[in-house]
Amino acid sequence: MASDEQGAGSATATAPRAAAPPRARRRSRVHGAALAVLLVGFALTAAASVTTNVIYNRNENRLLALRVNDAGAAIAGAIPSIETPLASADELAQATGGDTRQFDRYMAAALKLHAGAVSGSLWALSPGHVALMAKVGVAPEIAADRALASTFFTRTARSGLLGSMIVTGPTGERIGYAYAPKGSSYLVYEETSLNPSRRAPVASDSSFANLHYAIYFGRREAPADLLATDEAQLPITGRRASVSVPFGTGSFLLVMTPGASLGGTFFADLKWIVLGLGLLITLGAAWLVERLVRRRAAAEAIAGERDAAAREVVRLYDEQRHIAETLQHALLPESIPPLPGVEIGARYLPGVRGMDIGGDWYDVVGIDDDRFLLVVGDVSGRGLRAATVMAELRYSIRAYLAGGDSPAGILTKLTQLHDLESDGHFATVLLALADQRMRTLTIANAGHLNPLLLADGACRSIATVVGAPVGVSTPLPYSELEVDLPPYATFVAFTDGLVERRGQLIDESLAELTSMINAEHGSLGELLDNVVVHAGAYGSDDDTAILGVRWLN
Amino acid sequence: MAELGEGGVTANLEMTEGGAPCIAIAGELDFSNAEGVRTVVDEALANDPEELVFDLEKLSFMDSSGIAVLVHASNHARVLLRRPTPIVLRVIEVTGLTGTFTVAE
Repeated sequence: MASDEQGAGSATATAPRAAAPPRARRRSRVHGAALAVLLVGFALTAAASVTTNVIYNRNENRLLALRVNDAGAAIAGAIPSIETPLASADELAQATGGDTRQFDRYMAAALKLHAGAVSGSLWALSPGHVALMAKVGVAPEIAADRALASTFFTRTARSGLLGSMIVTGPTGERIGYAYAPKGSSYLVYEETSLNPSRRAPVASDSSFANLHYAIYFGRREAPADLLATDEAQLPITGRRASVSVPFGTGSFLLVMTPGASLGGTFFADLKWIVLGLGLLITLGAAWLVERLVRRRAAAEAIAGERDAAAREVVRLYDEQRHIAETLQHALLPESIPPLPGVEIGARYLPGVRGMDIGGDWYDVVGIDDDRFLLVVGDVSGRGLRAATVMAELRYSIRAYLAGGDSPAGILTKLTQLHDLESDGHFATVLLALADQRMRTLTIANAGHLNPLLLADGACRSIATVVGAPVGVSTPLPYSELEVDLPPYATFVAFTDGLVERRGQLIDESLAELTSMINAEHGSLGELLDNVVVHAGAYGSDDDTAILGVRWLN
Repeated sequence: MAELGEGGVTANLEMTEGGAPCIAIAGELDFSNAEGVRTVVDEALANDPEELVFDLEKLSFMDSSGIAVLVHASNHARVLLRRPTPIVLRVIEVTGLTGTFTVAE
């Protein structure tokens, strides 16, 4: 029990020490599964973010196109507000036969209504010639270039639509609007001043407040044709949309760019939100996977280390056992001398759990042609000290036997030689002197288990007179028992490891052994083997020595 | 009073004034733990008592190493085994030590 717990204890103590370095190495790198999650996560996040951005851009472009069209329509809607006063003034001129005073009065009022208008004039049209009849406000700049005026006015009158152009004169640039209904002999002309910087911010309360713009005269984005803008840097780049707005005989080009996200800042930021969340989720998932993988790897590593440690313990254990057994066998008789008329066999079973060498032994010593001594002994405890006591006793017995002592005499002398207090061990010793001629066994017993005799098909225990074990001082002398040997008798002596079982009376296991041998009809070797198997089945943790002698007649 | 909790055996030493020291051994006494019990026995023998009592009511198993501890005690004091279980008593008998100890029920 104790040795079992100690064994487990030492196993867990060695395992972490032996296994620490490989585990530390494993910790330093990220596992493939986590990397895969990371890569797939990054890819998915990037794809989602890009898709969000594409959708956002498409949406922004669509919104911008709608707004530009709205703005274009607003500009186109301004045509009547310019054209109508000019048409009215022309009608007035036709109706009054070119009355300049009436024109002046009407035009002065009309100019006030048109922001930026600085000059209004009435022109007489005749084929190949135009003539200024009247003017309101400053002098029209176009008047300085008669050829230009003639071309512009003639073309305008022919179209019957509102004509417009940028006029450059000594005072700067102006937009000139001309109108003459078809068939009229008068043309009304208005000039509005142009801001030299062309800068005109969008009113902050306008529905176009979140847009920047540039309006060009004509169809090109030429700086010279710029009419108004709220941008410092032209031409407009980046996200932009343009629309050409027909305006009388000509057209304006409106270019716009959003000042802020048209769909709202949330949608503008959505790709970053998607990117951020995606990265977070990816990192989280990768971390989780890495943790799981590591935990599993650690568990496997620990299991592996535990297995390795267990194997190492088993190996060391086996090695120690092997050493102990080698030593034990060295102290047992190398071979049993062949004796006439008998067959002798012996078995030695090392304890199941004991790593220390045991103190069990057997011996067979020939005396003369007729006699030999059988010895079975067991030194209490284990370890080298016990083995030394065993060797001492074994050779002392041989010496006393050679000196002619009887079995009981030998035991008495052993007791004088050996003492528990000085040696720390006592020993049970069974001595049986066989006499072939007399066909008797003379047995003396020092605290040892009684031997068995199988004869006439029955196995019985030989009831010896049990004295105290060797090493225990006792006033009682050892007695001998003489047993007659029937033909073909088998004598079996053993140490307590064979029958000593926890939780069972020794008499019960002795009875089991006796009935087992009783049923045995094979050779001596088979009998001893079966006794060993029988003992092994009960897994005694003590060592066991068994000696068997069979008479051949 | 001493206690030993090693490998399935406990040995409690009780010293009573005027009376014999008593060691109650419980569990399974074998070669793996006999040395510890022997230490307790030596402690009890330190005062050179005339008699040493072992209460073996709860001792379910004892091997030759355990017997050696009892024999060691008997070399220094009269040993009284109180209430030994049949298994333990039988082990003492077959080892030829019935005369070495006094057994009390």
